[in-house]
Amino acid sequence: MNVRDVFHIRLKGLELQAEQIIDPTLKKRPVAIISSNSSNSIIIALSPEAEEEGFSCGMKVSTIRKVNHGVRLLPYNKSLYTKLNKYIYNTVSMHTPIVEPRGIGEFFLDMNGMRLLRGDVQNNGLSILESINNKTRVIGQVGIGSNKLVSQTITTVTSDKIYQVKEGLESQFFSYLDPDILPTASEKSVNKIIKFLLINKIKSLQSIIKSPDEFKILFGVHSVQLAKESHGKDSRPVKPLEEKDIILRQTILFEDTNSKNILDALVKDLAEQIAFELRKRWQLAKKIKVEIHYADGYQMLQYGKVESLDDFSVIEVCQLLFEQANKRRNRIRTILIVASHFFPFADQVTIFRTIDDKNMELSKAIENIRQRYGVNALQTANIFQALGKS
Amino acid sequence: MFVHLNTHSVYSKMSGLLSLHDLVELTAKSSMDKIALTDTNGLWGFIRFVQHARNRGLGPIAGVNLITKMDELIVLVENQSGYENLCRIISDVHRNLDKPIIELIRDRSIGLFFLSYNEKTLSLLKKIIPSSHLFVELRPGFQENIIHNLARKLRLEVVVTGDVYFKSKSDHEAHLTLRAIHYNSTKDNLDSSQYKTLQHCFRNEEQMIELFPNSLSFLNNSYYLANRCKTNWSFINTIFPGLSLKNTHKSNTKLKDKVYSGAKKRYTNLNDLIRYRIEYELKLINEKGFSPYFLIVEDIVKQTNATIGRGSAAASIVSYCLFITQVDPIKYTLNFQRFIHTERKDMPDIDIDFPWDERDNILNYIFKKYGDERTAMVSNQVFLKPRSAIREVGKVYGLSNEEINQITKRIGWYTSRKNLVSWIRTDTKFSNLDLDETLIKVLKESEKIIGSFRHSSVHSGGVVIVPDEIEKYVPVLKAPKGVQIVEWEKDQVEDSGLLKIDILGNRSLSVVRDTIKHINLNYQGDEIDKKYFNYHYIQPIEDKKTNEIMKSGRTMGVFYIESPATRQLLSKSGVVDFNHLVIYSSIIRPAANRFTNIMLSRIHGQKWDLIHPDLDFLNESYGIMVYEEQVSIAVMKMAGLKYSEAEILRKTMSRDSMQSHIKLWKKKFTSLCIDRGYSNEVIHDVWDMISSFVGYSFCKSHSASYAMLSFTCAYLKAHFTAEFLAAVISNRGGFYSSYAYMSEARRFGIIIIKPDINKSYYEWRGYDDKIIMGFMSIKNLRKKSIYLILDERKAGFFDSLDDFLIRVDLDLADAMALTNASCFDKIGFNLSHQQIAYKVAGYYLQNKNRNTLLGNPLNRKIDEEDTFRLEIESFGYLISIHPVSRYRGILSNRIIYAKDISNYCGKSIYLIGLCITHKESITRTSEPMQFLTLEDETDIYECVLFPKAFKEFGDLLQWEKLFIIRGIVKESFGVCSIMIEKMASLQQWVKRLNSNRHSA
Repeated sequence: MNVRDVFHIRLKGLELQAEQIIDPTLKKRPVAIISSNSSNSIIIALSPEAEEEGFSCGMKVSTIRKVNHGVRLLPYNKSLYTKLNKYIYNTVSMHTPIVEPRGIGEFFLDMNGMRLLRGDVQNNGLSILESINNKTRVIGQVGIGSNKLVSQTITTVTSDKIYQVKEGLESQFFSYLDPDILPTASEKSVNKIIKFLLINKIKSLQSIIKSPDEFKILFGVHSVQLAKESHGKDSRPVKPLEEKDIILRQTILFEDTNSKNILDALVKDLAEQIAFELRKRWQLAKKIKVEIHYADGYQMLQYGKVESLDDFSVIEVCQLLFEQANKRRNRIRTILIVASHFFPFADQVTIFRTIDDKNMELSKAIENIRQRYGVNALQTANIFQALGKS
Repeated sequence: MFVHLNTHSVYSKMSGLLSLHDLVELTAKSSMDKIALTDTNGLWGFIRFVQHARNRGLGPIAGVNLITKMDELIVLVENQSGYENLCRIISDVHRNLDKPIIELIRDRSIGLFFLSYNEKTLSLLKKIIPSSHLFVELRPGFQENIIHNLARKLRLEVVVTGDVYFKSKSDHEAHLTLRAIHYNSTKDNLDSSQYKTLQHCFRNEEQMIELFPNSLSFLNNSYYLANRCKTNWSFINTIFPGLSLKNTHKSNTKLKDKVYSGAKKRYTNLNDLIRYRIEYELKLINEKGFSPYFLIVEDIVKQTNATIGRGSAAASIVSYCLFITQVDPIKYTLNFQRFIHTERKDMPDIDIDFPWDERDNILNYIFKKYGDERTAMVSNQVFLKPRSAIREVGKVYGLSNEEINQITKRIGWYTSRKNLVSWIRTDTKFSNLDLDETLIKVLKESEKIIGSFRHSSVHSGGVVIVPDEIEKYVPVLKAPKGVQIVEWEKDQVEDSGLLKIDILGNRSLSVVRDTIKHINLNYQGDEIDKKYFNYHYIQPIEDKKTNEIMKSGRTMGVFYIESPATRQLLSKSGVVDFNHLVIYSSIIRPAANRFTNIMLSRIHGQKWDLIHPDLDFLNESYGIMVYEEQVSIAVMKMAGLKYSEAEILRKTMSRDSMQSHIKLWKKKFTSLCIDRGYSNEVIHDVWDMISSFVGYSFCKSHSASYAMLSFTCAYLKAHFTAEFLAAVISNRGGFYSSYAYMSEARRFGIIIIKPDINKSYYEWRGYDDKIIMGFMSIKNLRKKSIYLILDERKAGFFDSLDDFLIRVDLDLADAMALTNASCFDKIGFNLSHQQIAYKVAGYYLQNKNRNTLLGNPLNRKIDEEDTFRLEIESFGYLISIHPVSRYRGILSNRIIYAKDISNYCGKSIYLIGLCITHKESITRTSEPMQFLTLEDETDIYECVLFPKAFKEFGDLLQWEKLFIIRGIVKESFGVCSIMIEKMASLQQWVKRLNSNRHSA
């Protein structure tokens, strides 16, 4: 029989573990990772000690500061966590070629055929955890199942270092779990019926499935998927990481603001950086996205395309997209501009000089300086002023 | 010689920053003798402006700054016809902002002066306005030579104006904030045409000359033009609506006939006293020409069964016989003089309360009868208060709702503080607020814009009726809900001499109506049916059972005497007859707390003397001033003021807008009394009592009217508790939440039954010792579906769940709401809740050819937690148990029950409770404190958080409902309350207790 083995590796609180690796004195102390240093920011991850003191994820920093001064607050160090995550990714990739990362601190591993190579599946899991621990001191857990749903559910509901649900026993494993664990249960219409029927264990769903017509009436278009999930079936493959070709530029404002002058300057700065990168590649972007993150967590975005490579055209496109996206008066915390879907820039030779030609020449002149002294070496006054503030 | 002819006050919506008081003060200080108020598109504050200007000895000029989508114009009033035309023009602008200015003023230009800086507008206007009434305006921001040239070209005179919007240049930022709020924008994003520049501050003559040094003669022109404008405004002529009976004599006769016919119903035997009183009142009414007014009010009142006329009108036997009021003024010695006095020139107010759900029909009737052209409702002028100002400025600065709410939710709707930063920094209720730089900026800007006019809405009941054309007297506009309103709010309407009738909605009248209806339904055929059929025949006074519940303060749900303070007053006094209740209804005012306690001591036998023998009229109220007319009589007797002057003082005390005049009155009263030989001590004591009338106060007849309705409600509560409390909840109560009334019902031994598909109605219904919840209590259940069910039920009860499913076509959401509220439990027979839900969902999820599901896969019995969750989801509160009883088992048995509090007088005890209401107050030294009403499974109890405890625990009340408290039992006049020493969230307490036990 061909047995499928999918591992789910979960490194709980990787952000916190990363900080503890750098500063071992943080171990056994109440520590919380916060989204930023602003008083508006929130807790993203926290140590069990901090949890014991009554704090929880999502809590506002200003509240913590008022209530308790003993908790160590650490700002979100994205580059550290990304680096560590990538390092762990490389480590687990040594055990199988098919690894799918899922955010920070989670990986799916397709271990089909590895039994023959590496023997017992549980030993396999333990050795992966051991190698992660040896190289990084990060502690994790492994869920082993026949598919992604099962293995991921294991690491969600158990705290065991390693736990395996053998093929054929998925239904039984799921029967006593809360239906909320099933991905399809997050669909609004499905969740409404589950709550209404006071279903608190998947076994109730399994018993309704025995009358397929009634199950279909209750859960409509989601019934097939929900039925599969209720029995622990999942046909999604483990997808290895694909490198996406994008140019992403982002700015996180030091202080949230809705000041038009500052925001315009920051968008201009980001747009110049995108234009700089595009010219390096001599490519245009079929898709450019301007994304705004407000201080209250709300997001707005707008799409467009870049049809010319000079700074002025890219700035114009980005500023237009920004204006279209920024429909609220709320203060902005982050602006992202992402260019993708690239295609070569065809440099059409014209007899007459157009304004675009002039712009391009000016952009190239600026670029020469920037290539030599760095992208921030030359800034217009308003960007300089805005960046000084942000 | 310069006079400001273009000024904007706070009444210029979201642009002007000057209060009328400041505008007039600045003008007076600049030695100008006249001032024109030209607010944008309205005369919103005109009456107030006239009053302020007169007080400062200035000539007030009426005007407007007309701004349409196409043009702008300054219009000033020359004479009365001009004023009428201006009102019509403004009303037209309200109707259509797109209309060209020429169209607006065509045929309405007589009696008006026009000023414009726009060549096109001036050229157009020149065709219809003579040059004696049309001027070129030179305002800040324009070059002198350009305007001079334009005037030469058009052969018109130039007039310089200040185009004032704010006091000084430092207010410009606040002006920008207002504009950003108006345009729903940020300050950076404002277009230059959307705001005024720094130039638009108030300037005196010298500064105006500095601004326009080459236009001295045109500055003088402003003075000459001002002299041509109307400044002698008179509002003493009351305006009556014409009836179909044009002849006054006929009105008088008709009124007399109606009064005597009513008197025969009210008094079976018309003795001499009654006849004399009727004749006396009719004579005065006829002399003053008020008969048509009474006939109109009578006509309105007879449109419904249950009303109460309140205010001073309740002192009139004519009103009583016309069934406008419900208290016999002879039996209860109510003084007619307070209503109509020989010296009184203005219209007497008749305020009438109608059942809240019938009020709209009454208003429709009035509008239908008198027409839109003669009728409009009074408006409510909404100004930015601290709460709304912070919210709006916060948005301009990009704060999120959450950030704004963390401040605003701690500020009361009616808080009127201006020094926000220092208040928020020092008040303990903001103690955990993080005041960062942006917030401080928001607060500082909010301080500056508090008091700005935001918009107008419909007043809850004031209706204006005029004899001919309403637009002649005051500009009108359509409120967002489609009703025609006048620009002025109730005080300005009153002061302008317009006839205002207050048609107010009163929930208790609906409660009485519904209770009587259900009593009649429940006891159909009994004698009771006849006895209680009509509201007017209930005789609650001197009823033993009624007196008992009043004396014990068990008056939750009873009109006007249900607040914690009043309930305590009732039980502390131990004397609750009609006369005393009239006193209590009057004395329960925030500023009169001290006198309440003095009165209680006197009721309980403490010896007392009158402050002065001249004040013998205070004997009826234990020597304490409790009624408004007592203030008037006192100042007339002691200071020798005339009736009309005493009335002004009375009005000054009761109006927020006139609080600044109180000091002047005190001075006047003191010096007049000294002149008449009263000692300083007596004057001080009397003024002390007078000043307790600040804010609001009642006349005796008003209190008597209210007391009568209170008695009626108390009577119904005492004899038909279930019917009464069900009606209170159905009419969405009064002071408390539905849950609190439900608890009150339980304390009266009434069983609350969850909604039942075959037994419930839309509203809650009471019978005997049971109340069945109405479908209206179910959240997320639409009215439409409730009526669908009730309609179908007329064809017969639902035999089973299947029967219901087949007969009633509902949306799934409604069916789910009914299921969760356990409505199907009885017709589900042996089915569990889960099985009922399965059938209901399965049935209503099918689009067509619906069939009931045959499967029965779910059979879990729902547990307690499920029940609680469903109750909270369905009703918003727990039904099956009291919320505190969930925790009592876990807690120490040292926590006592509320019913036993009186056994622990003077001792420190622990209690748990659900907060059903709380009220912030201040001590004599202006420290904040809080009164709380809590209840547990056994009783309701009152607590107080004095400043020290309030400082420590006050903010808990912002988010917690269930508490554990430690406090000392204090007894006063036989009534116990708790002085809280410590308090904590009950849920947090239990959580901590559990975790401690766990770790132990």
